[in-house]
Amino acid sequence: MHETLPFAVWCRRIQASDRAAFTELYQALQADLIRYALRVTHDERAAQDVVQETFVKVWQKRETLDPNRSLRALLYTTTRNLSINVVQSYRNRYGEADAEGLDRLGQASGVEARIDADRLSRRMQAWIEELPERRREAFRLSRDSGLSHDEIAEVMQVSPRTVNTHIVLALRFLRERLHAFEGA
Amino acid sequence: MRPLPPEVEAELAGLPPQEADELRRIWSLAGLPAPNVDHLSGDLWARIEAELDEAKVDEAELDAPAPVIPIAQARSRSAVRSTTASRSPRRAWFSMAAALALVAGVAVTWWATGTTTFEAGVGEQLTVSLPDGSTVNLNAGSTLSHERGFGDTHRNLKLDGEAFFSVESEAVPFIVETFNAEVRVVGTEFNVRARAEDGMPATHVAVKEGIVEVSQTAGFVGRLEAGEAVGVTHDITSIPEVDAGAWRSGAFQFAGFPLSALTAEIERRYDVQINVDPAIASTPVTMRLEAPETADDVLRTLAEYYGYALDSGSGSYTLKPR
Repeated sequence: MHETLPFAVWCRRIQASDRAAFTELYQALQADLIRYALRVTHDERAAQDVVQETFVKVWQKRETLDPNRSLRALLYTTTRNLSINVVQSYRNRYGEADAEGLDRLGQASGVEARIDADRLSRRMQAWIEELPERRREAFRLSRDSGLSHDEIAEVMQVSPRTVNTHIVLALRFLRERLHAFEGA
Repeated sequence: MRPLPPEVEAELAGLPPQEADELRRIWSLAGLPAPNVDHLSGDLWARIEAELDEAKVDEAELDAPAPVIPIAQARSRSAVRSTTASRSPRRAWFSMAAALALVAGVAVTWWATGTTTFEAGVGEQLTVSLPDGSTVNLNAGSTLSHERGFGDTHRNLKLDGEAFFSVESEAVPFIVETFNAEVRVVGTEFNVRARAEDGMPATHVAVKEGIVEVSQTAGFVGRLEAGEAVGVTHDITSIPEVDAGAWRSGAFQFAGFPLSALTAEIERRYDVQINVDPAIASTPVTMRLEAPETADDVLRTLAEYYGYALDSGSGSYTLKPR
């Protein structure tokens, strides 16, 4: 799979320490990455810190970037790992039971509350939560973050074929749920 | 809405239409409303810059030389792509393209006015190398033309029909003009379909790699990235594209096109006559066949899949509701 032109161009310019290109990259992806970090951490401050650290890390290793590999996948991978670290260290500090505190924090900050009130799409979100964790992750990265199969494969360390299977099975599962719901 | 990933779309193409449509509906419903995060990004960039500048001081002390990127590397992606292109000498390509075109049994006209025209007749496909190193595959029943100075002073083309473009990266914008739209690119691969006479008089643009901008006479329409497609009629509709330019390898692929557009394409490719009952002419159809050899292959599959009756006579076919 080819990477879209601007990412490859940004990659080369960033390699050559071009700060303007790095600014453009940041502007193009920051909101998506913040949302992604929010979905994992459920904490606004944590998501902000994670995205900050992601971009700093990428800049620091700019000279070793590979223009043939997806820069976007690299940013998502870094954001994902840092977000998981945050959740993990929260769990270590406060114990498994209290890790839900992070969730409540997120809800209190209104992130979840801003979700569209439409009944069916709310149901849909609840059904998506029922999916196995990896399947849900692949589906969300595709549907909400707009990553290509190849990029998701890189982020999740699986084959693109597995990514496709996850997504198709997720759609089928949601269809079953919808049928049961509409039939009821 | 975000289009379905091409891999998933390919999987749906093998399902009964009703089931595929349901899964598409699920996809459109399943999007998580993107929460507004503006309040979080407010000072984020300033924080990142502050951290980078801190690090910069350390780097300066090390006095590390900036990495040099060879020009060859910067160009390698597009260079690998151009198979028929010879970038120098520029003038020589004209006779080359002409020879190429004539071998394919296609008329090339270079008028005194300086307009060069390439035409792929019914039942033919043609590969054209342009003076700037870009390559164009012209589908059956299509015409492509440009004025003198292409590649030197401009890169403007006129297209009537369908073509797949592999564009060399250059500062001069590469512009494809159709009867109702303009497609502007820098360096990319994309497909343009402009069939004014079909049941769907639209310019259809699908991008395989890179980004293109599409505009119509009314003004700017939008920017397309790889894997996206757009149809320019009076309205903008984003269509998921399975595989831009798949026709080049013999595939027959239509997603949501009216039946009449599809039969017109079969007529152009196989040089046959097809009559379509007006009652079904505007039905949207979706199909993909890898490499059908005859019009018969395509029409039988189509009739079977959508439940139409197919009559065939000497070189002509009739499709009607069963």
